[in-house]
This record gives sequence, structure tokens and C-alpha cells, in this order.
Amino acid sequence: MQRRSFLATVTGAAAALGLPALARAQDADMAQLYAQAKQEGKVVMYTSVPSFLLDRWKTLFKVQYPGVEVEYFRSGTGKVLARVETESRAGSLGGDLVWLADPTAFNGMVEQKLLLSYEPPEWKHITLAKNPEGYFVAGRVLVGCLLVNPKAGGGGVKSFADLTKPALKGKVCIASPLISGSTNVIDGTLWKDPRFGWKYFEQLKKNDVLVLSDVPDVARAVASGERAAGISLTLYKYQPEFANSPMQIVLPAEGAIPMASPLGVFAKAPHPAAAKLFYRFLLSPAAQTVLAEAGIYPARTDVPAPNGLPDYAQLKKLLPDFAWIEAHQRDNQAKWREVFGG
Amino acid sequence: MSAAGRVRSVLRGTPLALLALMAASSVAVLLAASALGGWELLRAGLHSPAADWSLHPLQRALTQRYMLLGPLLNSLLLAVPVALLATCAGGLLAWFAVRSDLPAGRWLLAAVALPHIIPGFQLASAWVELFSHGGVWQAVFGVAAPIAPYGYGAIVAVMTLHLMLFPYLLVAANLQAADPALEEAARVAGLSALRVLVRVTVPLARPALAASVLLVFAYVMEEFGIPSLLGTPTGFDTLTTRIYGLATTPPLDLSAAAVLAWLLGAVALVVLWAQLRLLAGQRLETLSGKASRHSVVRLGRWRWAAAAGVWGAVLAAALAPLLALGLVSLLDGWGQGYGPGHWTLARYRGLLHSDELRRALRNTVLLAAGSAALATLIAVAVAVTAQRLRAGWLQRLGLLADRVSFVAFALPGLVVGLALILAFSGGWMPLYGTVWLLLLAYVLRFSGVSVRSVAARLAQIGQELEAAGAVAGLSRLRVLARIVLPLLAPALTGSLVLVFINAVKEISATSLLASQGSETLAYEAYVRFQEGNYTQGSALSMVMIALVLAMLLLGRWLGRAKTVGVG
Repeated sequence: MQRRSFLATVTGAAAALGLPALARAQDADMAQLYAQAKQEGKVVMYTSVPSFLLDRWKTLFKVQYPGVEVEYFRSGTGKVLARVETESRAGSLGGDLVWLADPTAFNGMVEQKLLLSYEPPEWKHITLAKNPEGYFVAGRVLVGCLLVNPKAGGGGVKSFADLTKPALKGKVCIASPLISGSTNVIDGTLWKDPRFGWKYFEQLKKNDVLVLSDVPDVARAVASGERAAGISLTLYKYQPEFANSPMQIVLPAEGAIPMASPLGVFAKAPHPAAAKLFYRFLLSPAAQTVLAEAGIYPARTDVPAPNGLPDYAQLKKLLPDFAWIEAHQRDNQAKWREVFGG
Repeated sequence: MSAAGRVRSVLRGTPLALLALMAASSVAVLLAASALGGWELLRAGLHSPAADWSLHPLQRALTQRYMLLGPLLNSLLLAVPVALLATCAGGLLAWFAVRSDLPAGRWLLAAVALPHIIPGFQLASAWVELFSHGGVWQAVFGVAAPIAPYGYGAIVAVMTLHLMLFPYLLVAANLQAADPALEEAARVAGLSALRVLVRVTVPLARPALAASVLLVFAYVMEEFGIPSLLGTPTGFDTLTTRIYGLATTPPLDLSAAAVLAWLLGAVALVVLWAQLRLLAGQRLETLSGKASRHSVVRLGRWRWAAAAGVWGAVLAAALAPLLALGLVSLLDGWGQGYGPGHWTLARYRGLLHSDELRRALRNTVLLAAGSAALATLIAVAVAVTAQRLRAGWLQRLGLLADRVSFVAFALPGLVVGLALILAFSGGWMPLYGTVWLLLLAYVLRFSGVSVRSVAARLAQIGQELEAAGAVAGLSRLRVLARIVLPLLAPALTGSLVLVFINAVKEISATSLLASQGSETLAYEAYVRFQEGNYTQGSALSMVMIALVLAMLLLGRWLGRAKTVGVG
């Protein structure tokens, strides 16, 4: 029942947004990709996107393109990158596409010539994280925010700065930037900002902050009341596991931290046509609507923002400096291990 | 012999010869992989991006405190108290079970074994589920738990609980074997029961106690799952979690990881050496040939108080984690309480519907069964060549394989895993990411268990029967199949069960080696807990625990598996 209504929404959205003539031209290209993809049999994506989203896309894709199996390797950005590194060094890359929270990683992959330059028509509707040579583009925009549980004492939290207050001693949790790519960007933005810097993290440490591995664990800890507040992403509030919990999203007074997370196709994809087909599918209005329903800002400008959150243009933002984050990656990682371990 | 007879005889020999060939090649692979892994591990630690041979990683590891010294210190800070605590607790429980009239004392073993059967990282997750703010404890008792869910104290407690089984088994065996005459004499001389315990029983049990301390120490040093889930969140890193971080967080630093792995491996080998010395020096002291029965210490008016205390503590420790995992595996969401109104079987259904989880279940069963079969095959080959062949190069090779399997078993899983990554990613044999590398890892890690038990059993079998078989005209292989293997059966069953269970639970090497397509249940559960999906992680844990218990019961039913898991 739930699935059917979800599919109905998606198909409705797709029909409303489709432009007939363009769609036909695209359809021809898609039909050709589909025919080849069916022979390849499957497509494998390496990603840090939560599995419930992947499952929805998988279902949707199965309906639209039967005969092409979708498989994914899902883990934190760090683990996925480690896998790409090890496999490509071994010459046995098993993935066709890569989709991660951390855009800095993509520059490295471009330098190592791991990605394919590919600009399908869907690119026209996307403005963020567009690589000028066509190697990657934003597939979604994650938004770093505060998650609070008023029942556990997080009611008054309005800003990042609030987390260092003595009243929240032992009640805050964050994720490790060594494991979570989105946390690496959030923390990197705060490290660079003179209002915060490492001083902020040392204060958090003094406030007995709990460093969990990944952002969903922060959501779990806040939703269950284990902690009063944490730094995580907007999307968790929309997950069925947390939807009915007392946990709330707080867009921090200093600004929320948006991360356009890039999507790319591997140059040596073992299933090249299926890779392109799935890439275009993920950037289609139907697949992007799935994102908005899950509390994630879609990359397409023609698909509306998640329910209950302001339009992307209206969102007060603290913009990450990806170049700075990448340049200081090693130092910050070492510093992190010194302060927090991991 | 007629031509037809000869053909028939050759054909009848074929499966046996094939099996022998397989065993021989498995042993060869075991030896080659150990040598290659060891070499690559050594090389990686002496390698820098700038030069093929360099002392840079070593220097970096030694000069940056957070790299090596901090984690080493933390590992020791855990290993020493846990070794002592587990030995005291396990020893005391063994005394209650063997030497006192504690009600239902012989069931204590099952209660002590349960927290060991549950893999360490799952016990750690259960600890978080129980004691975190808003956790199961608070839901049941209405007040916040007085016990820390994360950090040093939590790790010490969970590890003690997890490893108490070893001291229990060692001390119980010692108490059963000790000469009762000494205690009798002390009692006749008028010493109180307590004095007898302190003055006679404990000193007599000293070898077992020392062996327990060393064994638990070794297990704490190599434990990865518990500190990774309970220590890392509070910034408490051990050697194992640091190696894992360096080998899995990009930019990867495999050189530094290798240096740390040397250190961890060296510690394991030193402890192994100490254990061997201890065993060699003191084995006979506690044994008595007399079959006299021990008098049981009557607890008297303390009997029921002791029963309440011991059984209360042991049952709480054994069952609470299991109940917590079971409860959380049923939850449909967080922050709404733990009542039946919020229960669902969705996480268990996920096991049937999700490709990853189905694959993980299949991989786990196949890998566990495959590694159990291969390890047992290797054990037979190694034991027979080492014990039954005339001195020569083949026999020496058998002895070498025996030692290698023993050392590999003593090495921490992360060290083995790292060595295998270094040896088999890229190069001429890119096995990284496949189930074959996991199979190799499990056989390497656990064939030592099989070799021990099969070799010990074979040593007890006299050679007269085999000689008789040979006189009757049976070929060597046939003597082996018809006479030796049936006699070895109890050891073979034991080896199969033990390796199977250990392989199901394995996470240290798996955490480094598993990948798309080669996931195991343990790996999936670990990843779920790490990313905060406690509901699915708990459901996977319950399935794994059921699998292990089923295997144990099967082993018992087959009648001869005497001990419980070793890893």
C-alpha cells in the first residue's frame, strides 16, 4: 500500500515535469542505453547514500528498466574511498558509479583519471557542484544541521555555539570526520571559520562530547534520548525509524552547512551502459523527488525542497570551502586523532 | 592381480588420493600465504612514498605519541586489569562449580559460556543498548543507569564478561585434577574452609591462574570489536582500533598500520612464548594419578545466600545482553519506548528481502563450513606427517606447518588481515575483495585450533592397529581412512565445530577484508552498529547467536565436542 502510493506520486511527478519533444529525443538515447544495459545485466554503485533511499530507487528502477539489477556497496565515505583506492590499485574495480558526500574526494579521483566525462541532458537542470570537464555533478544536497531532543534537555539549543554550554556537558554527540564524509565537511567548515576553529572542538571535548562513528548514529543517540543534541543531517528526521521520535531539526543560527554531494561514473566501469543509464535515472525528476520526500534537497532546481524546510535559496547557509578542506585534510586528520582518537 | 582388479583398486583409491592431494596443497597454501603475508607486512613497515626502503614510518610511529605509544599504553591499561579481573571471577566461579555444594553448580559453565559465545562487538552494543541514557535499563527501572555505556570502565567490564570463560575452564580443570590429599590434610589439621582455600587450593591452582592471566591478556590485546564500539566514541584508542583506523581511513597509511601490527604481533608472540614455558614447567605438578573423589566444601548456612549472589550475577550478566539485543531487534523506531506496541519483525524480514543480507548469510555459512572442513583436513595432514612419517624433509615440513598454524592462531586477527591485504591486493594474485581471501584468513587464523586437537588425539592412538592394517595388505592411505580417521572422529568433530563457530564470529580480519560480495553476517552487523542502525544490527546478532548455539548443540549431540568456542 505504502509502496503503491509512493510509486504513484513519483510517476505523477515525472509525468507533470516531462517535456514531450525533449523526452522523445532522450528516450531514444535511453532506449539504446537500456538495450545495452540489459545485456550487461547489472549496475553497481559505490556510495554513502543511506540504504533506504537506495532501496526505493532500486524498486523504481526495476519498474522502469526491468532486467538490469541494481547492486550497491554502501558505507561511510571513508570506507568507500578506501575501497576505490584498494581496488583501482589492484586493477579490479567492481563499481560503475560513485556517489559520496564529500566533494573533495572527487577532485582526487579526477586527478587519478578514475572518472568518466559524461554530460547527459539532465545536467541542464542542475547548478551545483558541476565539474567543468563533466566528470561529476551534484546528485543531491545534504544539509548539516543540529538535531535536538527536547525531552532529553536539548530544547534550548539554537546554534553550534550552544553546544559548548555547561548545561549540555555530557549531553552532546558528534560523528567522526575520519569515517563520515559529511562530518568532514561540516567540521572543516567550522575549523576554517574564525568564530569556531579547533578551539570550538576542544571546548566540545571538554564538554564530554561523545564521538560516534557516523551521522546516523548521532540521529539514533539523539532520537533515543541517549544525548540531548548532536551535529548531523536534516534527512534523518524523515526516516521512518526516527519520524515519530521527539527528535527535531534545528537550523543553526550561524547557518546550516549545505553539501552538494557529487555523483560520477567510473572510467573503467565494468558495466558502462548500465552505469550511464542508472546515472541518468538518478538525475531524473522521478528519482530526485524520492530525495525531497526523504528530507534531502534535490540537486535539480525543478524539484521542490523537502516538506517543512525552507527553499534552498532562502536557507541561511554557512558555505564550506572545499579547497581549504582538501588542502588541510592530512593536518586536520592528524589533529583529530590527537584530540579525539579514532 | 588381474588387470580389472588393478583398475578397480586404482579407482577405489582415487577419492582418497584426491583428498590427500587437496590436504597437501592446502598445507602448501597455508605455508606460502604465511610466508608471503609476513614478508609483505615487514616490507610495508619499512616503506615510504619516497623510498622503497625507509625508516620513516617507524620513526613517525615512535615519535608521535598519538600514533603508537598512546594506543599501546591504553591496550596495556586494559589488558592487565581485565586479565586479573577475569581470572578472579572465572576462578571463583570454577571453585563454586567444582568444589562447593552450590545449587545447580554444574550449570554455571553454560552461564559463563553464553557471554563468550556472543561476539565481543555485539556484547559491546548490547551494553550501549542497556546502559545508555534512555536505554533499556532506564525503561525498566525508571532511573538513569548508574553504569557508563562508553569508555574505559565499560570496556573493562564487557571484556571481563566476554573472556571469563577461559579462566573458568582452566581453573575448573585444575581443581578437578589436583590431589585432594593435600586439602584433606589441611582440613584434618584443623584449618577452616576459608583457610584451606587460601593456603592450599589457590597455591595449587597457581599454574592455571597464571595461564589464565596470560591467555586473557593475549585476548584483550587482540580484541578489536569491543574497544572500537565503546572506546573510540570517548577518544580511547587501542593498538587494534588504531591499526583499523590507519588501514581504513583515507588517505590510507598502511606503513604506519604495519609498524603497529609488528608491535601487536610481537606482544602476542611473547605472551605465547611465556605460556609455553609455563605449561612446560608446571604441567605435572597438579596432576594426580589417583582417582579419589574430592570432598565438597559445604557452604552451610551461606549456601542459599551464595546461590542467590552467584546465580543472580551470572544470570544477569549472561542474559541481559541477549535480552537487550532481542528487544532492540524488534523496535520499529526510537524514542517512543520499548513496549510491544512498537515491535516489528521487519529487521528479520530484511534478512530475506535484502540482497546484501541474504548474501551475507550465505557467505557466512559457506565460509564457516568451508574453513572448518579445510582446517580439519589440514590438521589431519599435518598431524599424520609430523607424527607418523619417518624423519625426513616431509616430516619436518609437517612439523613446520604445525608450528606455523600455532603461531598464526596466536596472532591477532587484525595483523593477519593486514598482512593478507598487503599480500593479495594487486600484484599477481588480486584476491582482495573476494570470499577466497576471507576463506584463506579463516583457515590461517583457525587451523591452529584443529591441528592442536587432532595432533593431541593422534598422539594417544597406538600404532599397533595401523601396523596390523598394513600387515593385512592395506595401503597407507587406506590404513589412514579405515583405521586412523575413525579413531580420530571425536577430535575431527571438535575441530569442525570450533572452527565453524570461530569463523562465524570472526570480525577482526573480516573488518579489513570484507567487501561488496564478500560480506559476512558479522561484518554486516558490525557495520550496522557502527553507523547507528542498532535495530538491524541487533537482529543480525540474534541470527548469528542462534547459528552458533545450533552448531554447539549439534556438536554436543554428535557427542564429543567437550569445550566451547575459543575465539
